[in-house]
Amino acid sequence: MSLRPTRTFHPYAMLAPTLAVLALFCLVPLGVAFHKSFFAWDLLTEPEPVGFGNYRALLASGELGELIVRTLAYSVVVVSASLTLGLALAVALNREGRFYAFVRSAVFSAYVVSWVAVALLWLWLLDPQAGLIARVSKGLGLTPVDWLGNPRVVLFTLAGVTVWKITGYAMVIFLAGLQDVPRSVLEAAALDGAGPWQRFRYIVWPLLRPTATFVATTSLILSFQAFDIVRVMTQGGPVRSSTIFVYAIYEQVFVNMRVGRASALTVVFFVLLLGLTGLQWWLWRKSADSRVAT
Amino acid sequence: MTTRLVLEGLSKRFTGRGAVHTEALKKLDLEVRDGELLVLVGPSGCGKSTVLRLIAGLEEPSEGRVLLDGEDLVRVPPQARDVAMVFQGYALYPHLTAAENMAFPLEMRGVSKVEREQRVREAAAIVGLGDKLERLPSELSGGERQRVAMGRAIVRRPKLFLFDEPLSNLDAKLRAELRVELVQLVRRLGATALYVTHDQGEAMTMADRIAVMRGGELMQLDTPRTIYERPANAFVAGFVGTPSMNMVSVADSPRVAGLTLGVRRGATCGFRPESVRFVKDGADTANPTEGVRLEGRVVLVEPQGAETFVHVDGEGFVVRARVEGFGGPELGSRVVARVGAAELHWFDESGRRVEPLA
Repeated sequence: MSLRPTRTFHPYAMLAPTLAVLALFCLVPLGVAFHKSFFAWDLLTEPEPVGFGNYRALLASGELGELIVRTLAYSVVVVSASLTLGLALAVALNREGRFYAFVRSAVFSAYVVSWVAVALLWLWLLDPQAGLIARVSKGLGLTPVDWLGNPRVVLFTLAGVTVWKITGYAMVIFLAGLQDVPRSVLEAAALDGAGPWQRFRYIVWPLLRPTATFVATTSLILSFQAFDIVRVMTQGGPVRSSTIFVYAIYEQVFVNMRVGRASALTVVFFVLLLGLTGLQWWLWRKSADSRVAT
Repeated sequence: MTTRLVLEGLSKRFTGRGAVHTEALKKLDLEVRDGELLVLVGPSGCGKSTVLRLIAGLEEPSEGRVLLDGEDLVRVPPQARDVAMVFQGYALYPHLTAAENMAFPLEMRGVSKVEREQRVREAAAIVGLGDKLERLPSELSGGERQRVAMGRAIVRRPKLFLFDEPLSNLDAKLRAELRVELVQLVRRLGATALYVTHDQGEAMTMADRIAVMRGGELMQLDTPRTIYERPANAFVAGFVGTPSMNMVSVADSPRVAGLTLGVRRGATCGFRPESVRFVKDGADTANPTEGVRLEGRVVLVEPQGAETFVHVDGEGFVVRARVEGFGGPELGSRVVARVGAAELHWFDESGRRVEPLA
């Protein structure tokens, strides 16, 4: 039986619904943003062409560089912490028994809760006066930290909340990866003289590398998209210290009414993501090549 | 260096759902002597693999001791036991080459790189894997993977080798080849080894001694020859030998002679297919009170080349007989056969072997 289409347009017809959705919600907005990035527009009056004015303004104020550094810092914390914690939890909870099943579900449940609910919950927990964490640290005689009011701390607080929410996802993916490591291979390693740490270092970790790459990619994408918790918990403050990329775009449009500036930011953001995705893809290919097909 | 493995009262119970205990092993006593290849054989679920896992330290015994050269291993973790194991599914490290797989146990023991390479080369030569050392397991055939697994076991010269059905994933021809190689290898190294298989043919050809197990219990421990010629009970008699021994419950079969041999009614009489001799009707001159006389119709003939298996239906029970070459009676013919009294095995109601009165 031949799998060749009888009419050349058939495959395109079948792909059309997906392509249409992609075009409508991804390509067209991107094109619009690219076009609008050359205008000054406040949503009320007519757009005014300004050439590269928006891009020049972003560079001149130094805002763009700060934004990129802040977003990357947030991403690095989120990706490395969720990866490490997710892996550690997966290894610790990869056991049979109702207790472990309960703890696994508990850890994962945070991932299912909506971002806004998570943000509100932590806003309450971290409240400097009435918050549970402040009260506990006072009770222990520690100086309370102003988690959301201190510009040096706030970005890490947001990263911590994000990690709290998404680590369950990383754990589940790692658990799946761990279950793919044959038990007999670990038993063989034990008999070959490898203790628990060596078994992890020389057998489990190399076999989990593709899983780790996958988890890193997804949490990187997720961290770049962070918006809800910034909007709910800090509105980018104090003094812009928690303004990260997507929130900055939102702020330009809906707070400052500068659609052109926001569009320029969007274009820069797109290019940045494209570059990062390319890098990840390259790393993935490299790790896949070193394993060959097993 | 001599090695002696002693298992004393070794038991293993697994707790399943609703705290139901499964007794995988019941108070096993066993000794593996220095330089011996002892084969544990039995149907699946008989506890033979559990024995290996307890010796390796992959399971903890519920009771009993595992003594290797006098030292009780029960509290020693697997990585600290001087025991190598070859697994059924090879259990190679998929991300390491054949050479790296074989070097792994040496690396874990802190052997220098130079010596590692030297010893891997030696082991590779012994198992016949010289030119494939840089390949990953996924690039090797089943037989080659098995060679890597054996190389990984021998490279560190352990006191004791454990083999857990190492050949059962291979096709029949390769299995027979590797079986010979494995026996030669174990002999050459003078290794002490415990080999688990469900294949009684493998056990017969490889073992110095065979331990036949069933339901977590040792049924018989002896040389292959004694196991075959003087099975200790009806289970061993039926399990060892292909085709298996003919077992006739005396109460069911009036055509079985020899009820006067001092055996109680209800006991079982067994005889091997090669003990059955076809005789021309009327030429049956033997004493009718001796041995077994059988009349029936040939219902199946299975030529194997060097031998032929003939199935005879003797009114209700089918007897398997073995004849040389392509000889023997034709399909559908009526035949008379005899088995000499000396070739009968008798078992009492509990299945235990009973020696006929002389």
